[in-house]
Amino acid sequence: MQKEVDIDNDLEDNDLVSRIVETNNTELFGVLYDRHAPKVYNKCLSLLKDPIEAQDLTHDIFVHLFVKLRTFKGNSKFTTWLYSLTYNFCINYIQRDTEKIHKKEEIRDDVMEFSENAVSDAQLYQLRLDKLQRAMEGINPNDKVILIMKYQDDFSIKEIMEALEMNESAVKMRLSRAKTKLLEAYKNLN
Amino acid sequence: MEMENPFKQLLYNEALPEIIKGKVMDDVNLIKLGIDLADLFVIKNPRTIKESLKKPKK
Repeated sequence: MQKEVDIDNDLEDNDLVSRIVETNNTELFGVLYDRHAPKVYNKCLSLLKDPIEAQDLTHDIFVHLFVKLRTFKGNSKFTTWLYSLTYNFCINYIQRDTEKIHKKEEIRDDVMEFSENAVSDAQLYQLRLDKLQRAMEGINPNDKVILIMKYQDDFSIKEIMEALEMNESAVKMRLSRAKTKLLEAYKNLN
Repeated sequence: MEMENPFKQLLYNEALPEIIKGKVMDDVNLIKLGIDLADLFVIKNPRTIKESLKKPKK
């Protein structure tokens, strides 16, 4: 039976999560949903493009979140943790049929020559918005996600490491490669 | 002058249909029921399980 709890809409995310974990109260979980579902949905939409798929994935992410919530330790901002979960869900969904291609890419990571800052932030900030949008749509979802984490969500390298379960040099290499790929896609646009 | 980050303007802003919340809450309530039942039989009253698994005396 649901324990009676006060629904305080002003609770900070971390406090709200603690109370949900303590009480398993689904009404409190509804408050968390109302706060974050629109953003999660739009993140799914930016990666999947199809609104129905993005809605289904948003549903799956929040159902999974209810179970997974007790593993949130509060070491990072709740939104950073939630968006990491969202991106991983989206990547797994997109790549559910392309596991082999993904493995090939992993191998390439090891042998690819890495030069940090091959493409500077200043170069990226000079890109035209309409062309940037088209270029982002043309690159691999893994590259797209790491660029969104870094330049849209302002994740630190450490936060990206935790989100993607990679070490620091792998993250920097992946980021550098993603920037190069984006710039190539941008230049190839008409 | 600081350069503007164009990635910040790539954000989508579509509305999420209300029906999704209903589906999420239905599933979450079902999971909660499962947790409550497990809690009741396994954690709060493990003897219930123990007794139910005992072979009946002949």
